[in-house]
Amino acid sequence: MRKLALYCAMAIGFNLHATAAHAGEMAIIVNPAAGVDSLSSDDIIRIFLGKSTSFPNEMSVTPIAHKEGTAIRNQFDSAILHKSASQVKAYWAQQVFTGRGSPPDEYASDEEIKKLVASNPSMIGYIESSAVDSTVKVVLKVN
Amino acid sequence: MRTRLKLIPLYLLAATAQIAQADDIKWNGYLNVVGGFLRYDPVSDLTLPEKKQHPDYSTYEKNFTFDPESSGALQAVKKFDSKASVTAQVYASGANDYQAQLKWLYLTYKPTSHSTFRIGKIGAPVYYFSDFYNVGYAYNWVTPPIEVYTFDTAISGIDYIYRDYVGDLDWSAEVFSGGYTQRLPAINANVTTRNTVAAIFTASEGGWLNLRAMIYQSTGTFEADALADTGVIVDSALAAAEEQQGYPSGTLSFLHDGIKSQVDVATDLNEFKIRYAEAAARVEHERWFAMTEWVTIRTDNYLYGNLDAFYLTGGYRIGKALPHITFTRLDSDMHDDAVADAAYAANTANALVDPTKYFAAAIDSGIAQSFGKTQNSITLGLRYETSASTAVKFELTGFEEKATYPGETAGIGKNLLFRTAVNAIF
Repeated sequence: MRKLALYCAMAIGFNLHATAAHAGEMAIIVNPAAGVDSLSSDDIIRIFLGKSTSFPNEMSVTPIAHKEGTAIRNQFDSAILHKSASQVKAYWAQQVFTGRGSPPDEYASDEEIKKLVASNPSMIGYIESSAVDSTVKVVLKVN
Repeated sequence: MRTRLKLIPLYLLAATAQIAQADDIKWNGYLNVVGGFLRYDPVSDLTLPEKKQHPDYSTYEKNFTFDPESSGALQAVKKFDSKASVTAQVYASGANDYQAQLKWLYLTYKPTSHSTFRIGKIGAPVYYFSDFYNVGYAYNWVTPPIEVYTFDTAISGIDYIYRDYVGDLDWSAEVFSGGYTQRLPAINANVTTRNTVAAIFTASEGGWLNLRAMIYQSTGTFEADALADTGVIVDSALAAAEEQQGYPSGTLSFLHDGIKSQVDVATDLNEFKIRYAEAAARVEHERWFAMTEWVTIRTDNYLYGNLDAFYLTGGYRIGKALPHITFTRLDSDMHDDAVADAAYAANTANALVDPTKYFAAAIDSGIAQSFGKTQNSITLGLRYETSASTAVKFELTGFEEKATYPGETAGIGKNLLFRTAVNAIF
């Protein structure tokens, strides 16, 4: 019985991530100097799943993402990657533990991601469309 | 070098560890807390064929236990630059008495965006889930079907993967070469392979269809403690025959050397060829998935014979729950020479015609029969996501071991296994 109680405590003892409300229109952004006018959703899937480490123009690319559990992150995973949060986690678990790649670094806000993309020609990220300004270039919009 | 660590405070390890990035070192880890019990204690009694027999499953028993399949690991990846990194993984499992060992240690080098070399001690990429077999979180079952997944080991060597895509189709071609030595505590045996060469091809269409095919060849040596001294086995067989016939002890000892020389030839497990072929197809949607994987093993060895196994599985996501069902089948075929020996030994009149050949045939085919297994199973399971990093699983597996050769009774029968697991990654 004690073994079972300990087991149940472990099962519920990990962090639970609250699911936030659905985000609005989302923009995939790159640095204006990246030389990329647009990207297909297939290109973006490859980049964010680590299958491609360069833009179609052969320039090196580094994807960055919002933190797990946020509304915009859930929207991106579903609308672009066509995966649930747990499927994305399982995918990266497969990649990480075979040394074949690691997930994109995560950041807390649109402002942080926009600032990083604006100052790094190789970075690609996603933010709310309403947060877009002239410091970044939109390559795809998603509802 | 091995360090003994107790896995008892697993939850402490999980609660305090977190993804940390110091300099260019990334730490990750996983935990699998797996417990289960069998409906019937395994019974495999050759001497009492009329006794109700029940097959075994891993080392589970009638009492609930966590030891057979619980495990955990810590992995560090140190990046040198954009092309090179080194990976080290320390792993411990209940099956190995929770002794921590360096399971993987390899250098990854990516000269181009398409090519990846891994050199060192890596997970042998034999099956679809081989690369992350121990990462329970990465798949739906408590463990992949044991009828197919008979091989979980690290191999020392070199691995090369070329990845590319054409439109929606992602594909890869992989080759690896190396060898390994592994102790199998459950059966008190050492396995050594060398000159392993394998090729793997994968294709993925739009992320929803994944195909894989592998061919593998190796030279293996199997050293079982039970076969270390065949003279003891021959002595036991002769003593049993003397008792059965009412002969004085030692009456048949003159046959010993002749029988032993034949048994030594048949039970020679040094440097024999092993060939694998594997194929898998997986269809995955956000809501549902279906998958099948098939493997065949061919050897030229008297004791090993050949093996074919496959599974068919599918599941449907309902919110955070994923119920799934799996059918498996495992068929072993004895080597033709072992089949002939079994038939020869079944005719007791042959003991008077050529007693040396008769006893050798009986002993050799008896050992070969213990290597084979024919088993079906059906598993009903449920995976539930408690968070994006943890999953709880429940599984009920009904399995039946059938006779591999006519008249086999030991361990033949049915059993039921219940398992539950908490898988976490961090």
